[in-house]
Amino acid sequence: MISKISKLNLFYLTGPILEKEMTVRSRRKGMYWQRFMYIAILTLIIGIAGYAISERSISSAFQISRMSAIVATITTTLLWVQFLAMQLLVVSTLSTSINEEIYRKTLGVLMTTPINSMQIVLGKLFSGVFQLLLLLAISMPILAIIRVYGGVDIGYVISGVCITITAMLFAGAISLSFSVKTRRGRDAASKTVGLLAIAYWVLPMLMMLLMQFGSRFWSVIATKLMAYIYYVNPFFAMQSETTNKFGFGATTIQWQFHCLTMLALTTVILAYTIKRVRKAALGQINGAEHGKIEKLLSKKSDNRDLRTVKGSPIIWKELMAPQGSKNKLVKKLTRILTALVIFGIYGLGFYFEWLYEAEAHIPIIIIYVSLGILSSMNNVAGTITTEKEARTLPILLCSPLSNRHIIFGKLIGAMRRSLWIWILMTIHIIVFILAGKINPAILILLPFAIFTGLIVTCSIAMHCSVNRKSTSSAINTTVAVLAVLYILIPIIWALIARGPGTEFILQANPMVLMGIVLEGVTNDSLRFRVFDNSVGFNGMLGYLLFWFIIYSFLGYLLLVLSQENLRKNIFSAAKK
Amino acid sequence: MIETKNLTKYYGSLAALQNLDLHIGAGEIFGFIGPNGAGKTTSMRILATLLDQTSGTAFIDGMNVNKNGKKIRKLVGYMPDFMGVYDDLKVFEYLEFFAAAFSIERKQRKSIVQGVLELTDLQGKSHAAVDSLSRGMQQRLGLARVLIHDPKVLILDEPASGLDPRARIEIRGLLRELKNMGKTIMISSHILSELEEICDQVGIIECGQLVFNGSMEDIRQKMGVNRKVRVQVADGQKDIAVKLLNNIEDIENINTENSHIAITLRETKKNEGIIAKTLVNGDINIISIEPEQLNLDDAFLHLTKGLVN
Repeated sequence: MISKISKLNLFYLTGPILEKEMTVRSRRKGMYWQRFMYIAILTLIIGIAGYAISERSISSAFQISRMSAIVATITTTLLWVQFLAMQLLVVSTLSTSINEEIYRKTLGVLMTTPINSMQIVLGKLFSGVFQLLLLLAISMPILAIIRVYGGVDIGYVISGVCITITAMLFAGAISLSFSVKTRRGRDAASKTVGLLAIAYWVLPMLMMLLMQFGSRFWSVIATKLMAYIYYVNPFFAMQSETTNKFGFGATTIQWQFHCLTMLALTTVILAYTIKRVRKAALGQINGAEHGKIEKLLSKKSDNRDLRTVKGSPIIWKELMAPQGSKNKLVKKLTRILTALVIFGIYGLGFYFEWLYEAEAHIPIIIIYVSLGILSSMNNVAGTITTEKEARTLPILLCSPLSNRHIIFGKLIGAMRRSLWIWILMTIHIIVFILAGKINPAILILLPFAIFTGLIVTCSIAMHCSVNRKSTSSAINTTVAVLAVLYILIPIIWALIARGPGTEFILQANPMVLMGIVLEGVTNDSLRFRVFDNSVGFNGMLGYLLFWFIIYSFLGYLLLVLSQENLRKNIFSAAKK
Repeated sequence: MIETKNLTKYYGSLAALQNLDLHIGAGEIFGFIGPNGAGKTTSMRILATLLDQTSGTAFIDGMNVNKNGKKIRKLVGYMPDFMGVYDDLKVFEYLEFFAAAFSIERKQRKSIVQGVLELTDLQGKSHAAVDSLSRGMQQRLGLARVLIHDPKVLILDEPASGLDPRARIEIRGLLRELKNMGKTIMISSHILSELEEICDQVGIIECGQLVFNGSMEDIRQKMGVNRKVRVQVADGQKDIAVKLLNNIEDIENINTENSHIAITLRETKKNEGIIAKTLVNGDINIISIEPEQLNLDDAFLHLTKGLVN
């Protein structure tokens, strides 16, 4: 018994995998960038708070009196930023952990050693989590120091950190589990984010709807289910802690109980993953075996007609690339779920009559545009890197297709894959123009605003795709560049310049431009707020054209640069 | 058809290729042999317009590869040393995609794709997903892909690596068929014996430098293989036979090995007929006279020094 218990140390649980993973991860450049960005964001948050104090207060006595409130704001913001960032980072970090071993054909090799599947899974999980805990630890001294100014209960910091760690472990375990059966890291990451979004947001919303509008039977069931869902949702736990500690409400969730529940769920997922890893490893050694349903589907898929190349082969290839899961059943379910969500939102909108309000269309259209731009960015960022990952780029470049044809073909093809979002948005706009809720001027102004956003995002994504080795890296770099351009620079500018030019820099953001357009076309007077002036249709069109030309030029330059770089480092792709 | 002059490629301070001079005639099969890291792949990538050389020039069909990239790509079919696959395409779709990439008209694509599938014996696999094919099948598909635009020149980087003996024999047969179709083929391998039967010319490269360039016959000459003969005579007659053979001026050296007598003829005299004549005249019962076979492994070791970049 004692010998069994003594075996339960970290090194027995993880074997040599932990050490190997820690060594490998610490050598990756991305880790250093991650740490730098994290510290930069933390510094920025404190900087903004400092700016807020010095700008708005009059006397030093007033500044001191406000100190505890500022500290409370900084602490809450830091804890929430950490809470969100840690979950996203752990998903991204662990999404490639097992599939990389599978496609480098090292998983089967590991199985021939005394290392067992539990050590593989736990080794991978803890190596990723430890690296992120280091990031989490960076902010601890800051929180400890600012506590001196009062306003923060240490219990809040402890509960916030514990909720963050358990949420991180849970998200990490799911990501790890998906990485066993998903070929690409980004697919595992998007599946994890999708599942977490459903568990943390869609499911509670559904329960709330049932509680509100369902029959008595469904309402009772939903209320009972909601009680359980409430305990396993870290967002609710965090929110509950925040509101309680600042006296906005009473604690409704015992965070200790929530953390224990999350740890138990994590253990279940890990046990399932351990079982799957062994299967995957044996499958690799003995030749991949498909499940019964997959076999049936692949058989069915083998018999379907061959697709014929039409038009540009590059665009055709991009359009043929599978979106989401290859599994037809999952694909159908996803489509049904998407349709249900869309119909549900519109149904609720009509039921509660908020769709009859003109202002309600601003967030809806912004959601459509954001989805369209993000989806295009995701597709474009993977265009060249997927060729590198599949090691097909050299053979593609051996064809007489010009660099221009390849870059622009890939760009158009990838952007066309998001066409369905733009079609839905157009239908929405046309319907509500006919209903008299949106001014028809939107049909002229919005395309310019959308194009400025699309061209800058997609050209950066294409540039990253050409220059990075993997799709995950290309997406992460694109997001980082956009965050620097549209979040970091405006904030730093606001802090340094304190006024002049800030508005101009803020309005350079295509999403802000879109907001101005939408605000204008949903008010009766068709006036648009550019800087502090109110301009009419022509003024707004001119302003949009100005940014449209600038962004088109910048986008074109980046695409030309991508063409130039396409044939450089062809063979530097990550070897699978 | 293919010509390189002082072709040099540096990766930082590492010389992957140093003053490589090659000349491959039209319709020839050129075997490019060398150990791993010798510079074979680098040379082929330069010829396939995928890599720029540091100095020197390379020509295909009289055109400079650096200045006529697009024209060269139409002329050349390049098969890399790894098989990149689009896992979302089927065999027919994969080939049709490349047919479209080579601007083959839509009406002709189907028949061309079927033609290359037939040539590479992949007709039965046209509906199979590319990533479900075995290694040998994928190599064949790679060959089918390079043939899709009917190129004059084929550059094949280790097409038989990792294949089983049957698949290797099949690939060799396919290459012979392609040679008969008039294609110029440059094929690399790190195993000399693999190319022996099919190559007109062989280039042996080591540490980025060409250490040998010539035909298989030239290798035999260089190894002195044509001058070596093994004779077996009846029991008890070996010593008499050696005495008789010692009298022949054209013989440079005689060694007895178990039941055989190994004879090395002088370089200028290559007529082994004199051995049979002398032994018959001396009433020796000859069981066999055979020229010594070229041991390609020995030849490779003889021609290279085992240096690695």
